[in-house]
Amino acid sequence: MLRSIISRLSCLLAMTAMLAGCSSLEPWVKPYERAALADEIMSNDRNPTIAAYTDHVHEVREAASGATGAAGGGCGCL
Amino acid sequence: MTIRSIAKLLPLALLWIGLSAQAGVLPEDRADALYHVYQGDGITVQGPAILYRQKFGESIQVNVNGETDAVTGASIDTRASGASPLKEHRRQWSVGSSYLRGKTTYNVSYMNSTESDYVSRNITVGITEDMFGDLTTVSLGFTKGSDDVSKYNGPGNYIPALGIGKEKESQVDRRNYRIGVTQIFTKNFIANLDYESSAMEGYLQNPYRRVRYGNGNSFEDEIYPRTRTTNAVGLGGHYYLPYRAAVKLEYRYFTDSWGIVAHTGELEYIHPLTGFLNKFTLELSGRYYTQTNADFYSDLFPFTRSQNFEARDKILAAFDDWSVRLGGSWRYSWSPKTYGVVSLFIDHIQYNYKNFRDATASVPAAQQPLFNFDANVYMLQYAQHF
Repeated sequence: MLRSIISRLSCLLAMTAMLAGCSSLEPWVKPYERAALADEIMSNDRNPTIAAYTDHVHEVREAASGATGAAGGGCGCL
Repeated sequence: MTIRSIAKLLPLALLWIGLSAQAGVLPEDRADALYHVYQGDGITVQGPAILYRQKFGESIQVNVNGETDAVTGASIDTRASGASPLKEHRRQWSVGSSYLRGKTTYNVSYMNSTESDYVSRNITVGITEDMFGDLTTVSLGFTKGSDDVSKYNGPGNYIPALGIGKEKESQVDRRNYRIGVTQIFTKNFIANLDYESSAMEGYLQNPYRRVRYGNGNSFEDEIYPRTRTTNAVGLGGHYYLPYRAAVKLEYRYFTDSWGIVAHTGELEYIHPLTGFLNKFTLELSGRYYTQTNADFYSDLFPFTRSQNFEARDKILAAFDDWSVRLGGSWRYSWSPKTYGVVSLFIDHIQYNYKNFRDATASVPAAQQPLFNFDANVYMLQYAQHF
């Protein structure tokens, strides 16, 4: 019984997603309303090289790391 | 695999196809050349960093990074031990590729970082999916890393940190798992929630650093646990102001199996100028970080081997730091899609330790003043967008 319910729910979810792919899901912020969000000053990718270096400066002197969207490496311990 | 098991996977496959039915975009092509200088605690670290990112068609992008750090000077640990000032180089390079199919972007990258006594290698795979009318972006990532830790054993000679024949025990294995969600809430506000967990196993300490005990004039090697797990959660929001400026607020909570709890908060303001200065953008940001000490950290242990694990690395001490950034960039356009940006950023950082004392002070160890220092970071970059 449970397996049947899960199977039906999976199919329903898949069909919903396919319909979403056909744009039936109405976004509450329309594509033509995203000019501000698309402005380069809102981007996290404005200065990827400076952002990666800044993360490295902090990571080699602080115990915490992660959840910043950057992948660093090396010890660089001083 | 039986037909029945394939049938069980069919809804998931349909789900993936459904979510991937519209097209996404790859980041713009660019080439960066950065020169950075860090000065603080008697140390200068400087060198160049480069990035080249190029699309091939609409669905494949390749990026290459390189960076060199030249380290000179003597930090508090070097000054206290009376050792010679450092002169060290670190070289890092990475290569990666992204493949866009529909609304799904697949990423893979390899990174190598080399110092004379430390080699680190990472391989990262990730997947990013735009969904629900492009209001939501979900990303998953996994990094597998492996480090070789060595120690100086005479001019030009380095041996594994735990000694000859103990290469395996002197390595570190790392695994990082990431998941992130970015959500558009209004036409001016976007927020992100990120979680990252890591597991490390191996030689996690510094082969040169020692702890002090007794009256502060006796020293012995540090002993760290050989495993460490960390968890970090980050929450951020970007808001677009009515007069074309952006405010970004971010917070991160971090905890690990060594007893460290850390909080990080950052506020950033980006303001493009107008009128005859309309090619300039100003940036101002402030960041605050605080952490508790590791369970096995002490500035001064009471007697030799008084604990199973002992550390006196100031990165494991209780401390806070704050930093401010002032930056500006100037944009020069050749065409709407081809332009160059010259940027200068200056960071000032103040570190304040709560239980790490200045061992160079000529007074009894328990009466030495708490250590603190200032650092300045200078970054000059030229970025070509095409």
